Amino acid sequence: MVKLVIVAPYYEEVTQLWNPFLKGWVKSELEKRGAQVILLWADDANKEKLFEAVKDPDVHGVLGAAHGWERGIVGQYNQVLIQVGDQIGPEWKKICLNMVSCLVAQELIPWLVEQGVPSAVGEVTEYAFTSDGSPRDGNDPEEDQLLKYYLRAEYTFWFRMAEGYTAGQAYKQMLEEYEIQAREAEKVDEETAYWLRYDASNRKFFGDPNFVLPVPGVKTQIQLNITTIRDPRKRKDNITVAGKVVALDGSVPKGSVEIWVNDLGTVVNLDDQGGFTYTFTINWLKNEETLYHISVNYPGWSNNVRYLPTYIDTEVSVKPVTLPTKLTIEDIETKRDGPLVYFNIKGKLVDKDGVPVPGQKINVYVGNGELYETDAETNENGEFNVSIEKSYPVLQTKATVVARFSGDDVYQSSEDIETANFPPNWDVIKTLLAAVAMVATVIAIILASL
Amino acid sequence: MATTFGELREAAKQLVSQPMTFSVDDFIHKVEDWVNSMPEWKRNGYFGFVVRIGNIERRYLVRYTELPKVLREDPVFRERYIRALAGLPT
Repeated sequence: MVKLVIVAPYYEEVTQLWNPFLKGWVKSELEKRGAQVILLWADDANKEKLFEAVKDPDVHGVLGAAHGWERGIVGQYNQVLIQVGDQIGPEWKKICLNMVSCLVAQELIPWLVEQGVPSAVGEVTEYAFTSDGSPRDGNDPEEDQLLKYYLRAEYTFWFRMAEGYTAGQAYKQMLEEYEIQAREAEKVDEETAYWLRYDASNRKFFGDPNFVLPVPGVKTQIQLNITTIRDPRKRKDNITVAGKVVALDGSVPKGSVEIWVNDLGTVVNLDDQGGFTYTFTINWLKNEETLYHISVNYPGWSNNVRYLPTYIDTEVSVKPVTLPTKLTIEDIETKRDGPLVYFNIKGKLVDKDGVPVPGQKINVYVGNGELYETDAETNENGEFNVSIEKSYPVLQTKATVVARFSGDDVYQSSEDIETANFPPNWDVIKTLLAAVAMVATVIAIILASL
Repeated sequence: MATTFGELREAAKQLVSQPMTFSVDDFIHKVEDWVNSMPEWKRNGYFGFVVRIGNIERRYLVRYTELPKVLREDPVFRERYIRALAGLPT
């Protein structure tokens, strides 16, 4: 039997708003999970009762909400409940402490851990909250349209502990729940979402993350194997979360796991070896290093045997992948009309595997001293086709054609250079020749007459 | 135009980082605007922010309608509230 002590003073506005939920909803939820609750309510929320309660060998946790300062916590009518310098006997060496109290993580909580309390959680700053102030009996968080978000997030820790998770796992899940609740609250009240995140960011864990309440059942662990593949062409990541739930007694656990990659979650049934695998496809817009938070939760399973829950989380980073490209000018048609030369240039852009690269801008330059630029875009087959007209000197018959792809976040740059041939400006040449012939004729006539 | 909570946070940041360009009075006026723009169910609710310094207890559960008054009259609460809003350690 696991016993938990709930400390719930009830004597002024803050404790009167929050603590009915400890007496009602939290106590009831812990009991549903098999824990026995010792409730220190109102006048019982005092030092003598607390220190007496923890002497019970089955008591392994202390929770509650009470005013705190850097070095201590006060109970009913501001009487000191526990503070730095108190005599912390050996009975505290089996206790996990996590109370909603301002500032206690600054001195009291680390001091308690130094004194032998195995695991404790506390707030570094003031704990801020919002409440709609409506009357409550404390049986359902829904009674307060703002406070409900804090309650759901906060008591995730103790509900997970009562289910058999380690303190470190319960703490991580509590912080995750604060974020989930902040997102929910955001739909209704931006301020509440802000304070939820504020409170979570100031909540610190001290001591042994492997501390666990002696909940009966077979302990389990998760072995995790994550593979990531970035597909730059389709702008997506495939993240495969595979693994196995292992029972520490050598048997094979049953049930299912919840797998989360950031905000995407799914439930996968364990196979007959306790294994699981699931591939998430996640689209991205920009090819940059992306961090994914991955968590796997085994909520436990119970029939003839009870397998205890376990949880693991990690982060993986997927690095950007770029693809070399090859740009080819495949055909250049030219036609001259007087000084103007008309170019029709066709080409193709493919990646390193010869796969066409569609939708990309190609700059085409036709050289002759100054450059002429135009834009073209590759079609679904990676092909581009651009027409350019430009005037050239009478006798010029060649021009350099450059096609250039500047690259983007996925595809690397490439270019191709070719020479275009075209005829000289025969119209001018013929006119000139005619003129020369005429001049020559005139000269001949003049010479003959001399 | 009603003040949003996001604008209130920006004002708190400005007050902390550039106190010469923004006054406490300006900030409290923004709080008033913000509170006045709240739906009634929230305006009648509370902000809980418990301050206790050593043995001097300062405990607050402030009804939103009272928040501007409390900010005006209590410099300790005001300083900690503004720093918390600005995302700084209190």
